[in-house]
Amino acid sequence: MTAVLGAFTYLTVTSARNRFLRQVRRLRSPRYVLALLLALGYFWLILINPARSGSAPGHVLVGEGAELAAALALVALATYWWIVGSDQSALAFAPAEVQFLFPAPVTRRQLVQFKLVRAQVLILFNILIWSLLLRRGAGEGVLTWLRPISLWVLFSTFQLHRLGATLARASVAEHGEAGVRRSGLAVAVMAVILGAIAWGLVRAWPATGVASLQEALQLVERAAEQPAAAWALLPFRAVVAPAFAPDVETWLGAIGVAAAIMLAHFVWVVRADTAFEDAALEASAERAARVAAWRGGGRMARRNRAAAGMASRWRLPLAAGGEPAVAILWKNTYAVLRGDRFGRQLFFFAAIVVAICAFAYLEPARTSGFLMGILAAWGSMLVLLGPLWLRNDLRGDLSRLELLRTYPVPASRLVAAEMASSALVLTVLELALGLCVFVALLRSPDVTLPLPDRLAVLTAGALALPAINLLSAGLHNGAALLFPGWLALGGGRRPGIEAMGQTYLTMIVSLLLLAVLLLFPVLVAAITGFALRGTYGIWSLPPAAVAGSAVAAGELALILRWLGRQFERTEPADVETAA
Amino acid sequence: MIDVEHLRKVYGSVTAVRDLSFHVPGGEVLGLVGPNGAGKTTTLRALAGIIRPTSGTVRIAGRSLADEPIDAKRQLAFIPDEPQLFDYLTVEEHLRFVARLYNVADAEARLGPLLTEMELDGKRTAFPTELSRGMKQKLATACGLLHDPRVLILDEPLTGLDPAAIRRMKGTIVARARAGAAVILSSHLLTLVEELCTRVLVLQEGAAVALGTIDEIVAERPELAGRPLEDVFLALTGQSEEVGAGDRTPADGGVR
Repeated sequence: MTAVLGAFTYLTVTSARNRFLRQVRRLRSPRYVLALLLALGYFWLILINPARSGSAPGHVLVGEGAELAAALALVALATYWWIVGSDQSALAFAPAEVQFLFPAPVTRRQLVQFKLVRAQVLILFNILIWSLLLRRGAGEGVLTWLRPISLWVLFSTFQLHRLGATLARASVAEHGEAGVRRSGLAVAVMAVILGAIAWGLVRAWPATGVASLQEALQLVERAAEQPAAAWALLPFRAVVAPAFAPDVETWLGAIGVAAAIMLAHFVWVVRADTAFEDAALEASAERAARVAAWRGGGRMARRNRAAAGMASRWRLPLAAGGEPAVAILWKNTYAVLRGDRFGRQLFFFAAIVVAICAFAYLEPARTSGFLMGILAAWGSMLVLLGPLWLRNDLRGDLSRLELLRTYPVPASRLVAAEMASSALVLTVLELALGLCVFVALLRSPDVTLPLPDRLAVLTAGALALPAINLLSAGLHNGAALLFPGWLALGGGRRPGIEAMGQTYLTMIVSLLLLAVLLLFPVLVAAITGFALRGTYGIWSLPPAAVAGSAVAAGELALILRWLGRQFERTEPADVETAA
Repeated sequence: MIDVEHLRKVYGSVTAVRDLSFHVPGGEVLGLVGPNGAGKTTTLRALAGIIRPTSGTVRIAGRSLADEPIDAKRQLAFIPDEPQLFDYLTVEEHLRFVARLYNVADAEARLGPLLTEMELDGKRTAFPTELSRGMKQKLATACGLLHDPRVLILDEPLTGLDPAAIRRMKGTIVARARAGAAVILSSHLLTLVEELCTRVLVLQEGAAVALGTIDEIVAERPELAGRPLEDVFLALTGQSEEVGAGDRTPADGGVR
């Protein structure tokens, strides 16, 4: 037992160390040195610089209501994991791990322990990031040093719960009724928690309805105070409480309970190993297929096959003649449409958007302000975070660099097609959302803007979005090409909320760079709009968007030329594929 | 058809390929052999335009890979030992994708016979993850052959194939060469090399140690006459002492 755990720890620590050393060796290249210097500067200015005390980005993450928001976010995530299922990366093993560990004299329970040991590397790294992000928030002094412990308990519980939920779902899928019986208690507990929160919302719902975001937040607070919901939320609030404790005394009172919950999760996960091997193999096969299907081995997972089979009814035509780079765009669009993850999320989001818009259209007086606020936030998130979410471009394809290199397509056109792949899907989603909002607002009494003017805004948005998305895609694809040895490429992605620290930093950096790239196009658009305003009024927005997009297109042409050269220079051996 | 002059590839302090020159005319099958780490894969990758040589030139059907990469790549197909396929394209869609990349005007007419030749007719709507290793290899080969390349570069083409498929694949390679294609075939299966290749290029530590027909190679090393190809190969690559070569006779399958 100890020997096996020792072997697992050795494998994890040695792999992490060697990976780190390999990344460090990249510093022989000047561009990696430059990137490191910029990153260190960024960390210093944003996260560490004592002169900026109280203004670190993490400051906004703590404060009144943050604990409840975090607890509710945890409920939402847990619900998603239980109902929709996680992407199973919690269970996935790398092909080499399957080859060495599964035939080895190792029990299933020990394999679970291996996953837990492995997850700790990611958790510890993200604790470092979050500790820096939150150090200017509530609580100073000794609490700053206690926060990493709080975060470790919180993230470990996250990870254990996700693993447990995945195992429980796998058990149900494999054993049918028997699986339901085995996982029945956990499923029942989740159902009771959700029911209690829903009941709290019903009890707290005001007779006058909810007309603004502020009223909605008040509703949530009142709902959380309802006895049943308060009890249901108790374990979630207990887990997040230490991270938000304002003083040491409160922290000492909270950390014990949180640790006990984490321990209970550990016992649950270690005992719920009945379907582990098959589920882990399935998850590993899914990941292997996503990351590097060509490496061979493994059958397509049933779920993946079902999703792909369902999507395979969608036929995108592709003529044999014409611009060859279009074939790349076609292939990458299929990758999104048939991707298991995207299909599920799209269905989930589309259902909610359509429900909100239909409700807003039918009941404009009661809902429009609040619901439109949510949709606007959603749209902004698509523009800002969408490029991080959709990776059907070079970030997904660069791990197949050898294959791409054999294509008779000029490098800059190939890179353009790759960039356009994610930008196209994102633009379609944003326009669909914009159209939904437009339709939903048709009967809203809150919107004073006349209908033709709204149409002008929608048209301007439709004209500007492709350029914004392409610039954003250019940034992410450029990063992949410039630093293929530091960025995890391929179909893999960070496994969950415990990795949010990295995602947060990436998002901030990419938004800063996007802002720089948009500076000149926005300036030109503003000048154009201002010049035409007197003649065309609000209809000066579409030509302004066209002018801005034209400037962005010029920037893109330069970026593409440069990235094309980078593509030709990138060695296949430099590409670091996500494990 | 394939012209390689003074090809050299350096990775950091390691020279993977050193001053390699050879020519493969249309209709010829050149066998590329050598021990592990001899530089075979690096050579094939450089010929396929995957990696850029440190120095030297590669011409495919008269076009320089460095100066006219697109025209050169249109003439060639590289089929790697590990088939690289896209998870979310079916077998047929892989071929349609390749048809567009290479602008194959009569793709529709070629698609059916090619799928039949590769025994993938019943797998048109299957995804790569539903295919066996051998079927993936066949699909990769079909993708490589669809645009009727004038230059065919194959790295261990028989990996994962069953005996019947091996026979058919050998037939396909020979047929393409007879149709005028220049073929380079890298394999550790010396019997395959002996059976299919008109000439052999033996690599050792990145350099050519022998190039020619097996008879020509043996003629330069008279002491190897009558030895099996395996012994010839081991002697050329300096490994004969390690495996106790020299005990076999022509009766064991020795080289004429």
